[in-house]
Amino acid sequence: MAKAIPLGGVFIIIIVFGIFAFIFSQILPLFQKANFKAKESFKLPNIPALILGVDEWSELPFIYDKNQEIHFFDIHKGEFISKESLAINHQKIVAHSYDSSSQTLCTISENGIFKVHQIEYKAQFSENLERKIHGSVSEIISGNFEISTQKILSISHRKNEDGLLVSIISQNKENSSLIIKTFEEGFTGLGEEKGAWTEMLSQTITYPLEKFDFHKFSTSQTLDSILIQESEGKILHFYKERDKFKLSQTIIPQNQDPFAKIDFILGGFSFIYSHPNQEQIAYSLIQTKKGPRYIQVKSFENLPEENLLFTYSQRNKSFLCAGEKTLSIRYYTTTDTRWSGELPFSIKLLALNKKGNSVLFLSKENTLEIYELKDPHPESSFSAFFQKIWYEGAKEPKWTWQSTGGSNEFEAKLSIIPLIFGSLKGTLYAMLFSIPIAISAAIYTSQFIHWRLKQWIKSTMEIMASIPSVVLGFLAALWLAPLIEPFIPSIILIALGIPLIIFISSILWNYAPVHWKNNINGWEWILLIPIILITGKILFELGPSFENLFFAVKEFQIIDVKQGIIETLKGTANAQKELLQLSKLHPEYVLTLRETGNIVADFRLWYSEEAGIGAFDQRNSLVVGFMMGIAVIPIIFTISEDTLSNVPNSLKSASMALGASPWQTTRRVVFPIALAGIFSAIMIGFGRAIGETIIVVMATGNTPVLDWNIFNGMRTLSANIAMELPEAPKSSTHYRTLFLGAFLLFLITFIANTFAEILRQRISKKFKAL
Amino acid sequence: MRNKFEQTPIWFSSLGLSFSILVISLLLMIILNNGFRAFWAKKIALVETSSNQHPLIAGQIVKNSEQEIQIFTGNKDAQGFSFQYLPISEIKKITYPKNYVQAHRYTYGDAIFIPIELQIGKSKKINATANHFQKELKKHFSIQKERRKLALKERKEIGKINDKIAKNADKIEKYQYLEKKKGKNLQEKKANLETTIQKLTKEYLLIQANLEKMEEKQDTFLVYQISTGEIRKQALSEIDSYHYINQLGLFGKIKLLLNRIFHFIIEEPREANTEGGIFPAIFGTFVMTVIMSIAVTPLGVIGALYLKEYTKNGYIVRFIRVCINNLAGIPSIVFGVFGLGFFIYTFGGGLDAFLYPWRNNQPVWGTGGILWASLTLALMTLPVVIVATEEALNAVPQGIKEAAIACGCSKWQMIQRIVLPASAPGILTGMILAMARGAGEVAPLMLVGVVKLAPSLPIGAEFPFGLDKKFMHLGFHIYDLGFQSPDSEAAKPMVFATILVLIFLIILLNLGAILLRSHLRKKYQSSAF
Repeated sequence: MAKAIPLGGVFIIIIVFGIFAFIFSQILPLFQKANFKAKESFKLPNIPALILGVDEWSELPFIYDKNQEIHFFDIHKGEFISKESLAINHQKIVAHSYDSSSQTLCTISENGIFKVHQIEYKAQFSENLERKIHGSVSEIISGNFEISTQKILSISHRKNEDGLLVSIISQNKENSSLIIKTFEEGFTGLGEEKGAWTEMLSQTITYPLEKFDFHKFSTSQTLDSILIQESEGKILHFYKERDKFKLSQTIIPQNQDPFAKIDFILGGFSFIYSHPNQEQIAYSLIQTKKGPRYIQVKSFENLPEENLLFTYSQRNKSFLCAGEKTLSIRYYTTTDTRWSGELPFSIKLLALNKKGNSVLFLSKENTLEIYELKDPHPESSFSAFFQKIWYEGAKEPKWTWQSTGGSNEFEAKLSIIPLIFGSLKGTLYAMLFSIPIAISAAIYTSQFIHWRLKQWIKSTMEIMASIPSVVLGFLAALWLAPLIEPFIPSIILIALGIPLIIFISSILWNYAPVHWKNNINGWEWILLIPIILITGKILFELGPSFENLFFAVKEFQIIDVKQGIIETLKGTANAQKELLQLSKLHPEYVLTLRETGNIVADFRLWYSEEAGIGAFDQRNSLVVGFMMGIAVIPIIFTISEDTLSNVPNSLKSASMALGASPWQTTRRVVFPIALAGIFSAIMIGFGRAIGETIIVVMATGNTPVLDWNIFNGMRTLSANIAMELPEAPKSSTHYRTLFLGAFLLFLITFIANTFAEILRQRISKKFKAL
Repeated sequence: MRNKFEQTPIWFSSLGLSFSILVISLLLMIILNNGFRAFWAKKIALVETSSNQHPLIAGQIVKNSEQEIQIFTGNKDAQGFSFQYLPISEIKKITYPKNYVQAHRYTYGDAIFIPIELQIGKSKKINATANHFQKELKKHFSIQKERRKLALKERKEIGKINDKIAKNADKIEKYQYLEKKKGKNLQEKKANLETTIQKLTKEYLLIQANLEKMEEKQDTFLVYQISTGEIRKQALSEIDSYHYINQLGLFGKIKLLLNRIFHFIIEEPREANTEGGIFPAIFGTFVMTVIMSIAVTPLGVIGALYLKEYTKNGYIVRFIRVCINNLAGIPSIVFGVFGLGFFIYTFGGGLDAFLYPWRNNQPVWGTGGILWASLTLALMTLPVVIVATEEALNAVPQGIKEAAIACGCSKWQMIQRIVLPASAPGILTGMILAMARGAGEVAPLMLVGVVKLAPSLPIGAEFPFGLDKKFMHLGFHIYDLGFQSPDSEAAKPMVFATILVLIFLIILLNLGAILLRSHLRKKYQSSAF
């Protein structure tokens, strides 16, 4: 037993560093790059391959070749197991396109007959739960592009849940044309899973050759954007509006190159413009005043080689670019290169499976190479957490925290800057409130209070410290917040007025009879309570008049010369904003602003609409600051009071003997000596406030905002963890990011506490020396 | 007079203290006031209004402001709401008629009404104006209560049988797993288990049928009229308690208050926790703090002993002290994160894979439970125990220790026989403080096993003794009711009542610790060594 005791000391150290190490181990994978390594390689017979595709599990890849045959290759057996021919009547195929997300293949013959085939994979489980994949090819639709003298240059198609789009580029001597057909799957009746395809749109867009010479093109997965590269390298964006495709935008890339590659990534809202030996550029569809437009949003590292191949992930925003022998795996959102390197063969075709964990190459040496890709957290990187990121659909790069969303295409936005900001904001307001109160109370209790009360006050503070924060949070949210919301001007008056009254009455006190003064020594604080209560009540009643005087909200009318009054609204800032917006929306209006003369006195409206400072929420930082302050006051008080009380009496007596007054002694002798201890108290209070969870969860709106506005809320690191961690799947990026939040909290409090402890040890040494 | 401003800074510094004392008194007063008000029987007012929509409103006036009053009308089933706001200008007259009854129901909350008649069976009816009406109502009410108790007993029986069935089914799965993995032939055992399950199912169906029959027998109804004039009929068995509030005197009201507090403490919650009592939350908090203190006290005492009695090395002591202070300063949510990641997912998940490899996606230890919650809080409260124990060890006079060594004690004997007994009250203080902290903490518990409504109490007769169960907690109950409840206005009294219980508990623990500590200090100050 006796031997076990030293273990107790070690154990404490183990706990602290164990917690640190464990949390650190959980966040480490977030900063790791992808792991990419060779798994298998097969020698193949010589096939004039055009397309390489693969099933979800990466067990049965297929190759489509020039003879219009699809070969399925079983990687367990290491050989081709079946072959299906798509050729009919020996028509010559002039173009084909493959959509890897729907696994459909579209071919078109020289006389305009197109066919769309679905490559279907089905998993079957045998009795001993072994999986077997069956691949088959079925024609889902065929049709005819009526071209007479035109020559087909290329075809592009996409299929999603909503429908199918097939389009071709054709040319004759005078014109280039884009012909688009869209189809929707109709459900014919009960029992049948799939119905017939009906044509929804057939549109031909023709330009004279001297204007545009169409070259290559690409369709977005959303089926409403078609991008055409013309011979000079411009990109024409055709966008579907009101069921018709229209040329909506001409994009002129920095290096106009008709041979640059354009590839959409998952979702179809962004495309990557790849151009050998130049930076890769990402364009994203952004809602502008004129409508959705592609805007250059990001750039990636240079791609070294020509002969580019591209494929994108079906799970996230990563994409793969391959050159002759090199491969680079990149992540769109963060522009991070997840992996890049040289491969020991020349790449002819590549494919990525749906799970995103296996990459297949068909090499020019006729081998099928299978590589394993392990990248559990592609979306995370230092920049994703700490730097501004331009997310798809956003108007500018921003720090955003939005970890979960409604739709499948939702992309988690995991910037923790707003959360750190929220923690600091809440802590700042809590400290602003609690530091003066706690320290002044500590000074008073240690130096001036009647000795008989001291123990009692300290016990009361201990009781205050023991009030659970959930109780404070509840009171803040459901009692204090609705209570003070209409009385902000009264609160302002009270906060300004009470110190003033105390100041005046402390001076007046000099003229009080001497025996009063002697009796009150050490009991001032009790005398103050009625003063506070009475002035508080009077100032509270004065609040509404104060509001009338200073926080009046004017009413305005927006008037057009012809239309008359368009809108009536409250608040100067609000009216000006609305005026600006209206004049932008309707340039034909001639607008003027007129005061109606009506005035409402309401601080909330004044704050948000008249002065336009910011939003006013019921659950705001003021409430949080107050309640967190209440939680922190006893901590700062207790430690400061201890240090102040421990200042040796001899020093105080010496000071008094030299003729200093009690306050002079306190200010010049006691306070400077105890300052380090008070500082350590503040650090510990800071640590407590920054980690406080439940008060913030309950008393703020928990929106991750980035402004110091005292009348709105915040989302802190700790509240975020409490709310999101129970729902985050284990070991997901979200889960680990929340651990990162916990790690930061640990680090911040660790630094604050270690600092405080060092200060405290130093001061206790100092006291011993004195 | 040396200086006109001599007093000013002192007054200002006392302002901080006055403010703190004011705020804490205010908070405690609000909690006390609202907490007791939740139990206090309020008179039922009958308000005549000038509005055509609702000429008469009966209910308890909850809030009284200058512009409007808020009335708790109950009868949510009839009206769709249970609170009504009425402008002062619309009030014509307020009376307190004696014949109004407030009834607590098992569903739909309270009802406020005038009884009309009691229907017993198909033929017997007793009019409310009859003299013996109240007596008969009481009699039949207690008959119904007895029946309900019986039904509850049967339900519990069903629960037990269901548990048994689940256990046997799990065993079958285990055998299947063993057969597949190890190739044993366990057909016979499996068949045995299946027959037991069949038997149990039969038993279950029998009780179920019995229960249904019992429920069909509901034949006593109370017919009443609510203030809107609507006449409604309510099975008596659905009423938990009823009172002619306006007929109660002060004594009666106090009796009712105590009765309500008693029921609040011993009953289980109903209606998504907004009705009934908080017994499972109290019990959960209790069990959790007990397990926590069992885990934390030895650790804390050993840590403090090491610091005080075993090491003289200044650097090590200082380093450990930094660690202890850091442990005290780490935000509680970080402990929750650690508990979830380490205890639950890593340790618990590993334990599951080792103990129950045949269970897929049905974690036993790999999910939140009372053991993990207690251990998480034990880590969190460790510094509290260490600091208190150290203080107690410091207070043991050097003289006794030296005397013990001089008498030939080994160091361990000295600690065991002299130091520990002498510092026991101090250790107890630390334990109490740790319990108080643990009882009030919510944030980490949200991650490691607290739930809003636990199906059963976290205790069991056989392994693992309920340690793996999820549990309810007073603090979380407050959070959940006050913050997550759909009708937070209606839940408010319940929240305040729960806060009252929690604060009472925590202040009691803290006061105990404070008293014990000051007692200890006095004892050693006056000791003769």
